[in-house]
Amino acid sequence: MIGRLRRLRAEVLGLNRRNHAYLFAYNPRDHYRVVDDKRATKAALAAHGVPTPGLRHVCDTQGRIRALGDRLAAASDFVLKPARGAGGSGIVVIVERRERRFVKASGATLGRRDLEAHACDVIAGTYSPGGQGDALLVEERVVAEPVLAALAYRGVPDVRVLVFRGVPVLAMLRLPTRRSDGRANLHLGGVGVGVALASGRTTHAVVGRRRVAAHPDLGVALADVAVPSWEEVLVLATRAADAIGLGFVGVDVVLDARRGGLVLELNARPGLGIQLANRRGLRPVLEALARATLPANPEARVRVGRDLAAGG
Amino acid sequence: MRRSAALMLGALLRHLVTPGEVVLVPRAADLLPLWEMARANLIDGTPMAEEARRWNIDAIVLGEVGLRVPSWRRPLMLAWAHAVRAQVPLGALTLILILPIIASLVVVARVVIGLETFGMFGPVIVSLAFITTGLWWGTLIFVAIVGLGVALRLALQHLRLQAVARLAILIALVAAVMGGLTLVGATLGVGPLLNISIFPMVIMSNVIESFAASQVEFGTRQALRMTATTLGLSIVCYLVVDRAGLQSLVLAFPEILLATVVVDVLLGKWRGLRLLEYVRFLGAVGEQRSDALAPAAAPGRAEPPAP
Repeated sequence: MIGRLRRLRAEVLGLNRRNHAYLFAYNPRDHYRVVDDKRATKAALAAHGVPTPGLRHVCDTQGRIRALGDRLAAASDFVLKPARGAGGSGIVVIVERRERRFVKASGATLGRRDLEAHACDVIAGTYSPGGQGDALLVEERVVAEPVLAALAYRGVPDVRVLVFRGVPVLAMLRLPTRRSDGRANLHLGGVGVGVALASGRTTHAVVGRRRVAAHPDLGVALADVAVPSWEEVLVLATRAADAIGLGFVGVDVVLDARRGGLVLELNARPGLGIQLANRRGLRPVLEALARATLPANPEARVRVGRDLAAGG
Repeated sequence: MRRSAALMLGALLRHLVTPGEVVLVPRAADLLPLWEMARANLIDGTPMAEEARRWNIDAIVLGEVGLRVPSWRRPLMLAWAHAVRAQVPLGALTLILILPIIASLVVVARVVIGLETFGMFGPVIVSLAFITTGLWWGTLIFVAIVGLGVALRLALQHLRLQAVARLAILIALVAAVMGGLTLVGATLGVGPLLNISIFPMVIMSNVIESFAASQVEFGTRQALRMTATTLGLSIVCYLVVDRAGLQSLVLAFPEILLATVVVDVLLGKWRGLRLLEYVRFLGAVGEQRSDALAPAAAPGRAEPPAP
C-alpha cells in the first residue's frame, strides 16, 4: 500500500501540478479564447485543413430565431450547440423527423416551438459561463462509425487524445451511457476506456473512478477492441493541437461513418481522469517529453508518442 | 500568545475608559472569588495581583504598578484607541482583519485537501457571517436563503431572461428573505436574526447562481454536494477562528496578516497531489501494470462521478 502511494505521488499528475507546470507554462492565455468558442475553434482548424463537423447555420440574435426555425423545418437531422457551452451542456441532437416533430437521440420528440425556445435560451447565455450572451451553432450530425457505435448507448462516442508539445501521450474512448444522456463527458457518467497508443486497442474501462469490464447499459465487453483508423485519429489530434497552438491540450476526435475522423473540440484544461482509464500516470511521459527535441512533422511526432507509450 | 493578546486588549480598554486598574481573569473564573478579590482590594488595600494569587486565579493586572504593553506595541494600541474614539466598531475591524486568515484556510482546503466549493468567496464570506450570527442560526439562514433562491431560480428558468437580469431578481429575493428574517428576529426576540445583514446579499445570490449553473452542468447531486462542501468548509473555518481565539489575536497582532500572505505564497507554489486525489487516482497505479482489462466489478448501477 505504501509503495502504491509512493508510486502515485511520483507518477500521477494532479491538478496543482497540471495548473502550474503544464497549463501555465505551455498554454498561452490568449489561445484559451479560441478553444472556449466553438466557432473560433472551427475557423482555426479549417485554416489548417483539419476537418470538423460541417457548420450549417449560426444564430446569435433573438430576432433571427424565427428565420432559423424556418430553415430547420426543412432539415431532417442536425445538432444544436451553444458556441461557448461548457461540458457538453445545451447540446441537442436531432436524429430524424417524424412528420412535424423532431426526434432527439434519446427518442423524445420536440416541436418547432421547443427548438426555438432552446435557441432563445442558448442565445441568452443559459449554458455559457460568464453571463454574457452566446451564439447557437447548427451543425451536421455525426453518424458514429459502426465499431464504435456498438459501444455507445444512444450517442456518438469520441476519442479524447491528450497532446503535449504536439505529441499524443494518452488516449481514451469516451462512451455515452443512459446516465450521461447521450453525451460522452466522463463527469456526466460516461464510460472512459483507455486506449493503448501503440496498438490502438482498448485496455481498461472506468465509470467515475469505479472499474468496469462491460458497458453499464449495453453489457458489451470493452476490453481489447481495436479502434478503427487509429493512426488517423492520432494524426488529426496532433494537427489540431498544432493549429490552435496549445502545448497541453485534450483533443476530442469522432469517427464519422461517411467522413472519417473529425475534430469535435479542444479542451485547454483537460481533465486528469484519463490516467484512471489507462491505469497509467502521466508524469513520466510528460517529464521525458519536456526535455526532448521533437520533429516538426506531425506524423513523426505521433510516432514519438506511440514509441514512448510502447516503451513505458 | 494568548496572554499577550489579552494584555494588548486590556491595555486598550484601560486607555479608553481610564479606570484605576484593569484586571483580566480567565473566563472560567468563579464569581465568588472575584467578588472576594475586589472586596479585599477595596477594604484592605491588598494589591489585586497578590489577591488573585491567593485565589489561584491567573490574572493580568494593568494599572499604575501592574503590567504594561511593551513600548513598541503602544503605537498600535493608540491607533486602535483612536479608531474606537472615531466610532469605528472594534468588532467590524476584527472581521476585516480575520478575512485573510479565513481565505488562507479556504486555500488549504482547496489546494491541499482538494475540496470543491462554490468559488473562493462563498466559504470565506459565509464563515465570516457565522462569526456574527453564531453557528446554528447562521446555518439556518444559509439553508433558508439558498433553498428559496434555488427554488426561485428554477421558476425563473421558464421566463428565459438574460443572466444578469436573473441575478438581479435573485438579489431582490435574497433581500426580501433577509428583511423578512430580520422582522421575525425582532418580533420573536431572536438576537442572531437581527445581525442577518452581515450575510452579504451579493455573495449569497452568487452561491445560488453557482448552484444552478453546476446543476445544469453536473446534475443536482453534484450541485448539492458542492453546496454541502461550501457550508461544511464555512463551518470548519468558523470553528477554527472561534475556538483558537483568533479574533482577539488579530487585533493584538495584525502582523499575522503578513504570515497569511507567506502561507498563501507557499500554497500557491505547491504542486503536490491533493489529498482527495490520492483517493481518486489510487486505481491509476495498479498492483501490477498489465495491458489487459483485469476482471473488474460486474456492470451495474453507475456510481456518481468522482469529486
